[in-house]
Amino acid sequence: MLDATPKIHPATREILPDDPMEMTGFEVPGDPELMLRLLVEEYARIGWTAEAIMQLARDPNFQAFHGLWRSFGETQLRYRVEQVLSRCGVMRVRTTQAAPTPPLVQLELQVEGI
Amino acid sequence: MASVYNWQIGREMNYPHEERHPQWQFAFVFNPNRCIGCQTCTMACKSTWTFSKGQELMWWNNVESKPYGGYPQHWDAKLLGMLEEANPGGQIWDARQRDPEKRPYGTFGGLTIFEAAQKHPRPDYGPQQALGYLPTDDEWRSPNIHEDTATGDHFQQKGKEGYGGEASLPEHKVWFFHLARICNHCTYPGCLASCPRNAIYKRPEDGVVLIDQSRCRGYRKCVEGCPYKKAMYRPTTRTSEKCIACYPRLEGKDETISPTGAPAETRCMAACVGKIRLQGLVQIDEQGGWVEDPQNPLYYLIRERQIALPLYPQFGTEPNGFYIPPRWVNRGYLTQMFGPGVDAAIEQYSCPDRDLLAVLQLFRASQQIVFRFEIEQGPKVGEIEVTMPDGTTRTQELFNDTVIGFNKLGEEVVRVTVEEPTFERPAEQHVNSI
Repeated sequence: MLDATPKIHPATREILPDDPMEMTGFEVPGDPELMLRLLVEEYARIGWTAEAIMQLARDPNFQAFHGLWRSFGETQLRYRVEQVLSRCGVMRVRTTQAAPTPPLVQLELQVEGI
Repeated sequence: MASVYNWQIGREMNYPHEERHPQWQFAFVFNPNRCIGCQTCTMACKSTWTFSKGQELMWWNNVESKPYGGYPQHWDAKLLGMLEEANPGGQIWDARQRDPEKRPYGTFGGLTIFEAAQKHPRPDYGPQQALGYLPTDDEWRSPNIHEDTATGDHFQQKGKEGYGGEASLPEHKVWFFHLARICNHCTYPGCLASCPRNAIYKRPEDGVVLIDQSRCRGYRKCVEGCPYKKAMYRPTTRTSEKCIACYPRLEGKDETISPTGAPAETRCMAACVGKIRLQGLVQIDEQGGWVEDPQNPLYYLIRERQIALPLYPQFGTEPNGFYIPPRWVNRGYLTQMFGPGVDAAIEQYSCPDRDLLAVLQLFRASQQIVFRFEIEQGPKVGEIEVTMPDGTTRTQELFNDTVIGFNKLGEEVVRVTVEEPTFERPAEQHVNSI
């Protein structure tokens, strides 16, 4: 018996509307400038400098910031990051962790002949 | 069904078991504002607990990018849809009459998953104690698929040539954030309510929800009944498994981190490079309320200041995972996800006062759980301009304050001091540049 299913390459076949592996969505309106300002302020709170933030932005693995980098471009994004940092500054903290107390070791007294 | 009190929805609700509470409750605060979605937490958990055969698709900790991401796919949208179907137009909050102790977010007037299962049973799912569904294998398979490559109108216009190779799919330029999730170790767990074999229990000492592997027979009712989909089926053992809150660490059994036996944070918390996580234990009274303890950082952030909010409190399980809402995200979406406390939480977090700023420094400062903090006040060291959610700016004062964290035994484990901020001025502002 002949297989009636047509052989179509997966990259070219039609997307089925009920296929759970296919996402259907829409672009959400919003203000990328506001998102950028808030994100930069957030990283400034944990001590990140402009260069550290730009490194994050260039890395495609970090989608939120990388999306802004693609949207604004390197020069414009850097300009904006520096503008925000010149206003809110980079927060610095000094952390001192208490050294863990070494566990007490009970030495067994082994004296022969007593 | 017994009647139990759920402070997160501000009212009594129906639950299949009588009200009983642990002495302490495992709880945590996540801050999605600064999560970069690096998945270090995910891998820390995976490499500790779920690296064996049959656990390949099991991620007790996952980080998904909202609004499109979900593990399993669309877990929250599906359940919200089912609840809306059960109670059309009725899933609403009344935030007018708040009470800090009994109703901090007001009262939820809709149906919880337990009430919806009772009042509007779904014959297609069989008998249920909690409204839920069993995700398909496809939905479990790819934890981060399509998180920012949604096909929409743009794709419809572009057709197939826009797909594959160089992706030219539309992506939302704003309003997405990384939502880290683990089991919420709920006060009224949906998984526990659904288990027909009573194989799931809450530990009396710390409220951790566990599945007794010897009692479990793999019916997967817990997978169906957990609204957060954090109980998972393992085909090789034919049982369900879930996050165990790294309980050996909670018990202070790790001698390297806790040489004196003080409780330590879980692996996913301790591994967080973005400093978004703070985990601890809060004391519970006999009625199920949180014992007032404003020097406990979790109590302070969740109950005293209310800047950290529960995830989908309307499900009715009283989850013990709390989130500081991301500031740039659509408010309607956030309110649906975290309840009516969103506006007040964001307002405070945007321009924190000196006490709040000090406590926020405790995130990821120590591997040991901080049970109590003290603040040593210092002089004012600066003023900075911060952005408020509406786009306006406000001046925040910075003080040279030191927050000191103590473990369960009262030993000091960490101190963090806020110092004078540094400013990097753009090149054109350097007056004396040559």
